[in-house]
Amino acid sequence: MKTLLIALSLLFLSGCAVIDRFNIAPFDSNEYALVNSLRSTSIQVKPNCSNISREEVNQLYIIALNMKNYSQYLPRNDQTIKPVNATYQMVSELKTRYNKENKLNKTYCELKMQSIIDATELTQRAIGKRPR
Amino acid sequence: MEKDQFQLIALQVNQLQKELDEGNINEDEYRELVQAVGALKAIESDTSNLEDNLQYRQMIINAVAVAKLLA
Repeated sequence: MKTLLIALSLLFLSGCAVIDRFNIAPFDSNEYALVNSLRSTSIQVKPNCSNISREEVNQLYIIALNMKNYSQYLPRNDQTIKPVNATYQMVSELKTRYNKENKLNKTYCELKMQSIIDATELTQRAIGKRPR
Repeated sequence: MEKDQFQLIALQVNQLQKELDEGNINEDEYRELVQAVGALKAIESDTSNLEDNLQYRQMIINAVAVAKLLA
């Protein structure tokens, strides 16, 4: 009992910063699935960059929007919301550029898609480690 | 950020500069892709912090479990 009290005292001496680090949302399978879906779709679309279709761009955007909206109001989820929002921003820029020009430059598309793939992989890895 | 991370970012931006110089992307696309490099590094930092916090959390849980056993 004494040891437990000492351990807990040490924990709380550091203040609220410790509680914030401890206070993490548990694993959410829907959130994980949405990030995975964006990552997988991006991997599939990237080889089509020389002739990417409007449907493919819209598909990426819808998944990214679902992902962003789903994560947004999950409690204690601040540490995932930032990377999710940043990834959504990348997809949104891709869609805006496609809508403006009705097509995408192959090199731009490939580089952008790779950024999205890397971002979703990093996010997926972090979400996957959340406690069940 | 560590020195090698800066070097990695510099390398990626240089690669984008090369694409711009060769005419494979225009200036607007170049700026957007450079921002994406920055955003990706921020994501890397955020997810790394989350993983650290998860590890820290597990360490506390384990310490409390051990303290309970010893009590």
